[in-house]
Amino acid sequence: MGSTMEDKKIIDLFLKRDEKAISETSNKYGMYCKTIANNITRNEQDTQECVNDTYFKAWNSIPPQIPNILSAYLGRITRNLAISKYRYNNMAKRGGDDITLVFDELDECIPSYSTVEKEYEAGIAAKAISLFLENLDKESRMVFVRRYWYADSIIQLTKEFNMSESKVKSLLFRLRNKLKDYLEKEEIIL
Amino acid sequence: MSRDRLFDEIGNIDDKIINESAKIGISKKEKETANKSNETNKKEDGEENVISFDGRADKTFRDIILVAASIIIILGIIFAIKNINNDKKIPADDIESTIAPTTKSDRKSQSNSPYITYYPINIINEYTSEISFANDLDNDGNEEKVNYRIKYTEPENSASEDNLVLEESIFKINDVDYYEFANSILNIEELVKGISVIEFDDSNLNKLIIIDSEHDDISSIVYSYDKSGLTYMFMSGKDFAQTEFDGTGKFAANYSTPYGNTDSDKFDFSYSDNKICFDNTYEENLEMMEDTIIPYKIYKGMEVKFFTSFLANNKTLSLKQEPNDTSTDISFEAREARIDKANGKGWYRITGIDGMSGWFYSENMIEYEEENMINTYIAPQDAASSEEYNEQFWYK
Repeated sequence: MGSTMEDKKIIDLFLKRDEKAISETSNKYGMYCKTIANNITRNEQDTQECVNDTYFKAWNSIPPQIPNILSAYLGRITRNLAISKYRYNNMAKRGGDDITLVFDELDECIPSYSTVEKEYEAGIAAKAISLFLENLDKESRMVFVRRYWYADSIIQLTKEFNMSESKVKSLLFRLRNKLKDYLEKEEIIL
Repeated sequence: MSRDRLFDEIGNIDDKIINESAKIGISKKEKETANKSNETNKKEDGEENVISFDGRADKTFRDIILVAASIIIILGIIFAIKNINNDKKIPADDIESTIAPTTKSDRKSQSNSPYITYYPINIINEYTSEISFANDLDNDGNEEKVNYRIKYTEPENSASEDNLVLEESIFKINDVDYYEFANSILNIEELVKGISVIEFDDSNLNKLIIIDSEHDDISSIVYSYDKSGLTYMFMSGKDFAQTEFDGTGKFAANYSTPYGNTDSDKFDFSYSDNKICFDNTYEENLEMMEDTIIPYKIYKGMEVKFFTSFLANNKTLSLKQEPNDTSTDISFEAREARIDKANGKGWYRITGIDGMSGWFYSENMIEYEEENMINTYIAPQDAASSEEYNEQFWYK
């Protein structure tokens, strides 16, 4: 296994416009990005495109941006690209795949009321969700993030967290309900 | 606004939370590095709000680290030499990736006993079949045998309404299971996204291997065959990608993950009088199966017969069958469908185990109604005539 460069040095390469930044990023985070993209697109070609586009976007955005956490920064780009790709591919047809299931599950978290007049401001919902997650115990938080950020499958979660499938599901179910209650309480309109 | 928005918003949660869970594809060592980098950046943020990458501070820091590391290495060597006679080992660094931990030990805590219920399906004639449910419980918890009769009615000519929308909303299937009636699955040519049948050994009629090529969540089946015409289908639990039923009381389930790892477990079952019964003890799955219609897809080249869902509440059954479809990958339980009656093309939605659902397209949908049905079904079919339809579908 080849050694990987520290994040700070990789970012430094980006800042210096050194193309080695891409290869080092790929070396260290290629599989990470690939896993995220594949969790969402479930398509090898789309996955590869997303990963390549991630490098490209990182190259174009650093600078001016300087990521605090490179993995999260790259992962977020990959996730956004993958979900765009997924939505594009599924405009005409929805398939019964795992990411659809992720979406279906999230339906349960949408607050039911719609009468509250409150302008949505960018970032409010994300901050609220972050706060909600921070207040969870670590395991619950990680399960939630792995499912709804990384789009991990249920089976994958059972392995990672050493839980039975039904336990994972019931935990997610409870978390979704909690989140829904929380979002309603915070009057977050989605 | 919707779940899409929520999904997007979750995408914007705090980096720290993302990173905390970021194990996929990152080795432990790398993750530690990332965390360390995060902490370093935070510290620098606190001082200047700008992350410096000029390298000077890094160099100093690196020098300190190098000196410290050298000392540790020297101490380590001394320690190792000192303990060499005691046969003590210096633990190796764990730097391997944590992707797809699918060894048997990783799975040891997983429930692996499938929930299986057996229901014999007795075909009375080409329009009627019976299913007996022997494991329903009455109010006192005693086993209660319930007989259901399936009736199938010929498809009627479609009306001329365009874009009929059927919104299924009244199905509350609390006791649903899935019945497959497969008597010949040959020449499987194409793997379809989802569960794919890749092998059926017709000479060994008790063997059916299924591989799920796309999903981790797997439903599998056990297949039994009786040349007398009485055919049974059994729905297993899940968690296994391949199943092999050898008729000797052992049931092997081989796992296969998208990462190419495999694993296996074995389950006991009883087999007599052409009936297979697994331990019906997997309560967790029972819970999951409530209100669920278990989907299956028809695969190119498959020649299968299906009994699908029934309505337990009002004791009405539905029967759906699929032809030897060679054009589309289709499913058979349409809980919601949109069809253009003018040309028979349309979309239908299935909902499956674990709540998975999706829309599927078929160019050959046909509407038919069943006696006492409270809803109209949509089922795809290809056959040109009803006679051919029946010949094609029904097991002789």
